[in-house]
Amino acid sequence: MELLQGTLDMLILRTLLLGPAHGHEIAKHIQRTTDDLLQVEHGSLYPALHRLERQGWAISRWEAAKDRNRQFKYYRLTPTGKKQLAREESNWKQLVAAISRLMAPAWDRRCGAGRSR
Amino acid sequence: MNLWHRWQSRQQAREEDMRKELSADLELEAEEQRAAGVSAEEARYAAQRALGNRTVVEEEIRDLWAWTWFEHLGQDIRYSFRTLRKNAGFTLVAALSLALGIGGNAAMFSLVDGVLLRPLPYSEPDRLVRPTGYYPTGGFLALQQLSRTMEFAAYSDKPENGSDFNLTGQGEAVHLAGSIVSANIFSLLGAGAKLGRTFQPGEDHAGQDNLVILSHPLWRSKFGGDPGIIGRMIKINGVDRRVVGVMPPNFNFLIPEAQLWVPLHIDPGNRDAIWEHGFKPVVGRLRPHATLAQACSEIRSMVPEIIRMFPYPMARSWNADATVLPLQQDLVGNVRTKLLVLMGAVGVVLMIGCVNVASLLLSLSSSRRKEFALRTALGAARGRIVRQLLTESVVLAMVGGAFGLALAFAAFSGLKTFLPADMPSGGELGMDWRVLAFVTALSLVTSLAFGLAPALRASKTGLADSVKAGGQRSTDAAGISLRRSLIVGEVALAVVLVVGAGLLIRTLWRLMEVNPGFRGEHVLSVRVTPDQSSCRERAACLALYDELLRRAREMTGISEVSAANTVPLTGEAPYVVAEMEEHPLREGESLAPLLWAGAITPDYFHVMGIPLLQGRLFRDSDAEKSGQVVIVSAATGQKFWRGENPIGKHLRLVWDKDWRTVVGVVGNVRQFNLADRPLDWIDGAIYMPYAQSVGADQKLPTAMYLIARTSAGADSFGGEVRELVASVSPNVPVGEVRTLEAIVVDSAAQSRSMMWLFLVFAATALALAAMGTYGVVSYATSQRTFEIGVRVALGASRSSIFGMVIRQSLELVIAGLGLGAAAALALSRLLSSFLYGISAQDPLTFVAVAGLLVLLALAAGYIPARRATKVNPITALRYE
Repeated sequence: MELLQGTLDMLILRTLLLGPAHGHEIAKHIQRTTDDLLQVEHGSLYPALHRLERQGWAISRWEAAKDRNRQFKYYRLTPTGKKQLAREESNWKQLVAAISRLMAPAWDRRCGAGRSR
Repeated sequence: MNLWHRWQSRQQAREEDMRKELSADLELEAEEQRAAGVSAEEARYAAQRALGNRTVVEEEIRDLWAWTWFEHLGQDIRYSFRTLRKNAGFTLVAALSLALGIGGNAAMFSLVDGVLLRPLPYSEPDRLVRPTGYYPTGGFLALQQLSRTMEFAAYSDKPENGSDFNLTGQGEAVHLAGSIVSANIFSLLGAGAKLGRTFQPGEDHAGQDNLVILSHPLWRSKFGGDPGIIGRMIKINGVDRRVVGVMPPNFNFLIPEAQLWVPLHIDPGNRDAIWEHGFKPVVGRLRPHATLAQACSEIRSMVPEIIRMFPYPMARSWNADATVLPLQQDLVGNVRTKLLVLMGAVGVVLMIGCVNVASLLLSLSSSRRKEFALRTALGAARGRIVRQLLTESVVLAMVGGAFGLALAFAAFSGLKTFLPADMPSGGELGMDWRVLAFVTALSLVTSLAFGLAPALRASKTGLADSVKAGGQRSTDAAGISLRRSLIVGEVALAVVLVVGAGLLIRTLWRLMEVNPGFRGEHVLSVRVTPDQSSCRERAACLALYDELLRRAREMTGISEVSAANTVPLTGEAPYVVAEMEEHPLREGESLAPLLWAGAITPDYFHVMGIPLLQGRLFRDSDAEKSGQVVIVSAATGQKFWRGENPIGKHLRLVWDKDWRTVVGVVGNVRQFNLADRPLDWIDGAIYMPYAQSVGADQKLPTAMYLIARTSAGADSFGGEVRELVASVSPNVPVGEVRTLEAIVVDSAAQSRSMMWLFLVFAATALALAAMGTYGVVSYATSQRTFEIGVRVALGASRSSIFGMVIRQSLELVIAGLGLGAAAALALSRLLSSFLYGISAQDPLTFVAVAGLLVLLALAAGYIPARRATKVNPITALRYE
């Protein structure tokens, strides 16, 4: 399934909220948690990571992995990155709500409207 | 270079980082695939597929690096504007200081660019040269023949050698400046006509020379831009000449006021005529492969040959110092020094502006220390902070530059008046993209000059220090001492300019005190220029002026009126060549003296208020045919007949047979300039009665000034003279009326404009220095509030506190004064060619400047000192 344009950043930030991770881990995490529904193309993952870093939303450091004897570039969320994630998340929710309202059948919408009253 | 290397190594580190990261990804992916049971080779391919095209990925990442740089720049610029807006007072003062400096520099640069840097508007201008000296037509022809290194052209450049022309038959008669030129001058300069053609070879020979070429402005104003003008006959100096060409509008002749050009009149049959009057300057073009040095040594060898060709004895010393200069250098002349001095002065103003802004930035940055400390704590790199501060400086300088450019546009027309009249580029000087480029470059350099030190200092701020500074009474000692030395430097620079301005003020003062030798009050002059055609007969010309003077005496308000061929201080120098009694001319030995020669009517000395010292003045009876008489100036009598009574001595114009008798001695008059720097080729001054006079062309002077002592105003006088001349003889142009007082004042115009410029620079510098001193003293005082509180609490009197602060201000200014005075002593010598009556180390000026600066120190210290005396010890001790 194709990723929706512009959501990759949010997904990465959300992943980093759980703790530092390197590129490969991030990609795998996204795939795993979506039951392989979302395939992150590595070709767009790494530019996205660098972009997040330049924006100041993430910082990176070469660190040794816990389970093996080699270094990986670990990304961590910064405070501004957290704020950004919150912003993107709320945007996303509004978008989803708007789209589902449009896509839902008319009676469903009326019903929903009735419930909220 | 260092920066470049650092940039490169950073770039390499990034590349390395990226490659490692991507490789790690590939390996991990391959490992996973292998774990799932795929063969090693298959696993590698799968990993590569998962990543996609690695080069494209890498390019995408690299693009990000470039973008972030610009993004940061954008952020910095936005942030700079916000900071500057937040500190509006600082921004205004800083931008204004910079605007003054940058604007002055831009205006001055456009002059320097136009005059000194840009090539002359002729083809291959670097091959054009000026052989110095004036040559008779015969001499010019000899140069043409003899020279193997140069081609020559000759032209007239003043009334004495034929630059006066009357144009009649086209509405009111007008008097125009023009030039008599050799036929080859246009081709030598490489200038073509817009309409018709220029002169062709041989058209400067007698019989073929009744031609004229018009300037574009003259063609437009007097002939309505009629394209059918070519081939028409027009009347110039009463002679019909055929128009062969109109020059293009931007054609700039060596004398820019020239409106028309007529060919020389070479009559090889009349050997004497081509060697006698109307010596003209020549211009040369180096032949291919000839060098300036060759041309110069050649001219030295040609001059003695030419001396031998003169049909009358010519001194061996004639043109002995002849040399060949690049034409541009010659035309620029002493303007070069002047422009460079002014450029230096305005550069100093900019330096002061920079120092001022640097000092302001320092105080701004010490109040922003906490901000920087916080940003450092949050992870901002030192380079990032320096870069942001520098961006602020650049933005500030650019704002200043924009103001400055506007200022330069406003100031430019005023500055143009400094150009000498004969600068060939004078007409087309303007502000253009070169000036814009200069201002931009200057703003950038400026921003580094004032921004770098504060930026580096600010970024060095120790974290702990700054955070502590919030709660404690720490003083920014290093910052203050840096600012103090900046202010000392600033004051020193200002002193240099103020001394310059002082010297120039004193010079102008001295010039205005000078007794020019005549009394100009209530004396009006107007030039009447009948040409050789209406004055063809000597008697007719004399009668014309007799009639004009007789009727002018009846005009209202006129008490006395006379006619003279020249008026002092107008730059004219009519001359004759004379042999003086007791100074016999021996062939080839000494130069016959050139004498300034006034041709005047008897009342001249009364009108001008020139005192008679010995003998008598002219009378009406000194007529054409009676005994030939002259009056000499006191200095001339003294020079030629040292100690003896000049009355009764004789002199002879070299083209006369008869000797003239000296009948009177009158006071010296500063004919050429107030500064009494006589022209080096003039050996004395004599006066001849108009009826007996001849000019250098051996003819009666036709163009004369009517000079009147009158109670009438210039306008009514001018109107009446115009009517009078028209009724006596139409076709005689009448010039502008000028009062002699105005002529005296105008003759110092160059000194005056130079003085005003320096005064403006110096005043700006002083104001900036005062501002800077005030800023530092008041900042330092506010930092000492606690200390002052303690002093007051311990019983220090108000006056001792006041004195303490004032002393601080005085110390700064006096240190600057000492430094500046030393620099001024060394530099003021550059001004010495612009000074008159005082030395470049004039003690009075230096003392006055010192006094002025002490006043400045008191003024700058007064407000902070007052504030310090009002410190309440209780509040001060609780301060912060």
